[in-house]
Amino acid sequence: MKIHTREKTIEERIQEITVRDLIEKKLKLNPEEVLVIDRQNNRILPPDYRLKDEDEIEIRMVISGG
Amino acid sequence: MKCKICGRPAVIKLPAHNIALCEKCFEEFVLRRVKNAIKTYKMFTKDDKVAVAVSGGKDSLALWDILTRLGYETGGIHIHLGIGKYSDESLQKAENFAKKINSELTVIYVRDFFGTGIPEIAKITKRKTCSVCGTIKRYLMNRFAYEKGYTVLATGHNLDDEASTLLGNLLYWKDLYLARKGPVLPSTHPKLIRKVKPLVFLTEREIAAYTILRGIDYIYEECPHAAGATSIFHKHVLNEIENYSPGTKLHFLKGFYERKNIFARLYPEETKMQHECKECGYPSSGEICGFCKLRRRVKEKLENGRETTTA
Ligand SMILES: [Zn+2]
Ligand SMILES: [Zn+2]
Repeated sequence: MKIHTREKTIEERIQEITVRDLIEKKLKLNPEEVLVIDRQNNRILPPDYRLKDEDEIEIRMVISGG
Repeated sequence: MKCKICGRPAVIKLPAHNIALCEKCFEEFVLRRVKNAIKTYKMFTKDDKVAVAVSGGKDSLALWDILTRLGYETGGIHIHLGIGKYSDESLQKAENFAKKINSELTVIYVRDFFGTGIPEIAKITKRKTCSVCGTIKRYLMNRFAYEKGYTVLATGHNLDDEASTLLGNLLYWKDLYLARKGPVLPSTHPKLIRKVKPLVFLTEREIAAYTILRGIDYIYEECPHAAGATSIFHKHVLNEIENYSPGTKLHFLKGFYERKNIFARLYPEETKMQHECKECGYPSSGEICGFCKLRRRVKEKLENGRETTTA
């Protein structure tokens, strides 16, 4: 799976995983501070969506400073 | 996950409201939240001409989009800060969006007033970048909103911005700030425009989701000078609490608004701007306003610099 973040793009082989588990268990992020976007169609992926290895996603951080 | 309202597949879960919504119902939810804030705090009406302070970031562009969709008469004001590539890109995003919604955008360049941009001004005056930037933005936004005939100035401050500022002000008991903070800053002088924050009921995550659904292209990069280390930390702390007990941020901020008078009462005389600046004619607490003083200092310094380099 290809994962884009603000800083970089990484490619990683994954087992099927829900968006919720990716955020909270794997990346250890607060679900209140991120959105996961499907890069193929620019849509928000719901927490129960099961990500597959062929997916390309963006982890969008929503907290800004100032 | 199904939409609580229409039963179609949901895209976003909103634990604070104990619902999940589909794209269409979420957009309507966002519009309703803003409408509700405008009404609750009597921000403005359809007779007002609303200036939107547009930075090019997600909050201000979402705000402009929402107010336009709600049927208000709006226009944008963008201040080009002169912070390298970041400012040029911010302007680009603001201009593209104005074109997209076919609305007027007023662009003000800091360098037209100071001969240079924010970073240089901060260096010359030995003040913190964000503090100088704040002074200049507040002044220019007010002045051009007034000159362009707007009756109210709306900014994109969201629930996370306001709740984290509130937390910071309470932790250090900044009574004066607590007395002045609120969703509406009333006008206390004919040339001081009323300021409002229609996004106070929406979290950053909800606003970001809205911009994605609407295909709004905003500047994702942070300002290279963003000094907000403490304010970001306070946002994270509040989000930890929010995750543990959804709805806390909203409860915290709304509760403060209901009790605001406790602090406002401490400063009954503080709200008046008695003078008009001798140089620019805009409201000031002294003979010459903070903006004009800043301008003088920078001008002197730049002129001296030029003399020494040519000599
Ligand atoms: Zn729905
Ligand atoms: Zn002045």
